[in-house]
Amino acid sequence: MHSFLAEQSLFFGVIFVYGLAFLYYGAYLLFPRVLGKGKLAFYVLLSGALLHAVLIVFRTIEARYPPFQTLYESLSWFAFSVVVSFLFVEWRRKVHLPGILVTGIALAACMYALFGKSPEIKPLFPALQSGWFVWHVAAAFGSYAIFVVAFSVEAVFLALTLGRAGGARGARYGLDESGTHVFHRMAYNLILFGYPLLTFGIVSGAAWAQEAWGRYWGWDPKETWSLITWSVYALYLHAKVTPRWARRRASALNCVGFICMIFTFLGVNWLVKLLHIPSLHAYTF
Amino acid sequence: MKLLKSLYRELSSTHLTLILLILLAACMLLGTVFPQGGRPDQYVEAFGEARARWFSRLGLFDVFHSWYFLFVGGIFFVNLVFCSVEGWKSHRRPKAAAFKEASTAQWEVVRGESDSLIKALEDRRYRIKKIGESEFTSSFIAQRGLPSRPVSIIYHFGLALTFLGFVLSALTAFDGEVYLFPGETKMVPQSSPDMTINRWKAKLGLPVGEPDSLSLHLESFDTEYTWYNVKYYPREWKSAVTLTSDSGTKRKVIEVNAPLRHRGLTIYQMAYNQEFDLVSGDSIVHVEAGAPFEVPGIDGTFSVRTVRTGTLFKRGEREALTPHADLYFKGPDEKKSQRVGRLTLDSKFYFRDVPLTMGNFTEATGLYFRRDDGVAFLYVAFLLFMIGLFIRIFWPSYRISLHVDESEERAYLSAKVAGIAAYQERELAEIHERFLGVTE
Repeated sequence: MHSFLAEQSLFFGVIFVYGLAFLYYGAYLLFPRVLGKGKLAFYVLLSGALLHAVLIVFRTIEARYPPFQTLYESLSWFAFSVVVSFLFVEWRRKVHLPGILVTGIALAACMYALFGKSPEIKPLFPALQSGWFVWHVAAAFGSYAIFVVAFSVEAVFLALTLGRAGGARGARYGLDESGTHVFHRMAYNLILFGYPLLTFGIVSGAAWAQEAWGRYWGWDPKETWSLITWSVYALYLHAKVTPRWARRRASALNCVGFICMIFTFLGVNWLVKLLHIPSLHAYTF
Repeated sequence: MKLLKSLYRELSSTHLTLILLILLAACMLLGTVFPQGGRPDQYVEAFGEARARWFSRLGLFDVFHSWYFLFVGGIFFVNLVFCSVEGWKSHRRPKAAAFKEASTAQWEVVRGESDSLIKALEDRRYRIKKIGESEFTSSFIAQRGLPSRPVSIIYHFGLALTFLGFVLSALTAFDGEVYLFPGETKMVPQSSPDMTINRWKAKLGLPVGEPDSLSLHLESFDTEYTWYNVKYYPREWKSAVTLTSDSGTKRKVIEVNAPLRHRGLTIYQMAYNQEFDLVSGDSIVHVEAGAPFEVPGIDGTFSVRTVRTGTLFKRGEREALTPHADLYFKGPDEKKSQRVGRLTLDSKFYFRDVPLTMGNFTEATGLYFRRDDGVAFLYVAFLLFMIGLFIRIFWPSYRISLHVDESEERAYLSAKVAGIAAYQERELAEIHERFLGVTE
C-alpha cells in the first residue's frame, strides 16, 4: 500500500512537470522571442522525463518485469518513450515547435493512465512469460513513439505552409522556406527510422504467437490494425518516391498513419468491446 | 504484344503499389468492423436477416478469404515481383541521365581536369564506372556504399517470399485438439485428409496416403498458481508427455511458450478440462467446470468456474492444493449468479441446509497440435525482409551520375542518396572541396 501511494504521488509529479512543459511550449508558440528559443521548455520536459524514468524503474523493480502488461503500464511507457524520442530529436535538430503536440499527447496518455486505469501490479500471465515479450513490446512502442514525433513534426510543417499566410508564419520563428521544409524532411526521416521497428514489432509478435498459440497470424483485430498501420506507412514511404504524391499527399498519409497507430494501440480495445469481437490481444484491465 | 507491354508497365508501376496498398488497408478495415468467422444465426441476430444475407454475399463476414481480398493480394504479389525485376534492370543498365536539366550541381572543370574529379570521388571511396564517352564528353556512375536498388530488391523479394509462405501455409497446414487425462494415451495424426493439398489431390483422383500417427501419453498435468494480493494467478500449466513414433520416444514437459516439436508437428499447451461428481443426498450430479448444472431439490442453476488444483507458490514456499472451487448460484428470478461458498474435495458444504460434496475430481490437459510447412519459409522471408530494410534505411548509399563536358568546361552531377545517415548537400560539398584540393 505504501509503495502504491508513493507511485501515485510520483506519477502526479510527472504529470505536473509534463503539464508545465506543455505550457512552456505553448508560450513559445505564442511568444517565440521571449522564452529563450524554447530551451526552457526543453529542460522542463527533460526533468519530467527523468522523473518518469525513476517511476518506471521503481515499478519494474516491484513488479519484477518490464512495465508493459496492463494498459496503465503501457500508457505510462508510451508517454515516456514519446517524450524521450522527442527530447532526442529536439536536442539534435534544435526544433521546439512540435513540443506542444508531443507533450500534449504524453500528458493525455499519463492522465488517462492515472485517472482511468488501475495501477495494480499483477504477476505475468503464462502467455506473457516469453523472451519475445520485451522485444515485441519495446519495438512496437519504440515505433509508436517515433510516429508520434513524426506526426507532430509534420503537423508543424503543415501549419507553417498551409494557406497564403504560410510563409509569414514561419518567419515568426526565424524560419525561411527551406527552414520550414526541414520539418517535412525530418518527418520522413523519422518514419524511415520507425518503420523497421514497427515491422520488427509485428514480425516478433507473429513469431511469439506461433510459439505460444501455434498460429503466427489469426486476423485478430489488434493484428489486423497493426497491419493497416504498417500498410499506411508503407504507402507513405512509397508516396515519398512518387513525384505527384511526395508533398501534400504524403503529409496527409503521415497523419492517417498516426491515427491508425493510435487506433491500434487504444481504439481496438474500444472496438472489440463495442462489436463483441473476441480478441486475444485487447487489454482487459 | 503492345497490350502485354502496356499491362507489364502498369503492373510494375509504383502508382499501382499505392493503389493496392490503399485497397488492402480498406479490406482489412472491413475485416475488423464486421465480426469474422461467426455463426449465421449470430449475424442474423446482429444485423437482421436481409442485411445479414447481403453482407454474407459480399463476403463481409469472411473478408480475409473473400475473392476480392485474395485478388488484390495476388496483384500486389505480381506488382512486387515486377517492380523488383524493373529495379534490377535499371540497376544493371544505368541510363545516362539528362544531365543538364536534371543535375543537382554544376561545377566548373577546366580542360584536362576531369581526371582530378574522378580522383576526388575515388578519394571519397566511390566506385567509378564509365558509361559513355565522346570526343569532349564522358559520363560516369559513381557509387559509394551498397547500391540502394539491389538492397531494395532484397526486401521486396523477402516480402514476395512471405506471400509464398502464406500460400504454403494455406496448402499444408492442419490442426486439431486432444484432451488427455493423466495415464491416458491417444493417437495424434501427422497429416490430415482435410489439408487443402490433400483435398485437391482427392478432387483430382490422386492417391492421398493414410496419415501416420504418433502415440501421445500423458504422465502428469500440473497447474501452478502464484498467490498475490490475496488472489490466485495462474503461473504455468505443465503437461508431462511421452511421444512415441517410428523413430523412438521423446519425453517433454509442454508449457505455454514451450511446445513439443516432432518432424514438423508441434504440440502446444492449450487448455484444461475439469470434471467432478457432486453428491447431494442420494443423487449424484456430474459437473463440468464452466458449465451450468442443477441439483435435484433446489430451484435454480449452479456453476463453478475453475477448480483450483495443483501447486501454489505463496511467499517463496510451494504447497499442494486440495482441489476446491467457488460455487455460484442463480435463482429462477435472479439475473446474475452470486458466489455462495466454496466446494472442497471430499468435504461437505451446506447450501440451504442441503449437503453438497465434491468427489471423483478429474482433470484433463487440452493440447493443440498443428503442422504448418509455411512457417520455416516465413522465417527466412522475414529475415530477408528485415535485413534488406535495415540496410536500406540505416546504411548510407550515395550514387552520383557524372557528366563532364570539356567543350563547355563544366561537370554536371546528379546525386541520389538513400539511408537516414546520408546527406546529399554535405556529401557534394565534401567532394567539391576535395576536387578543388586535388586541382590545386
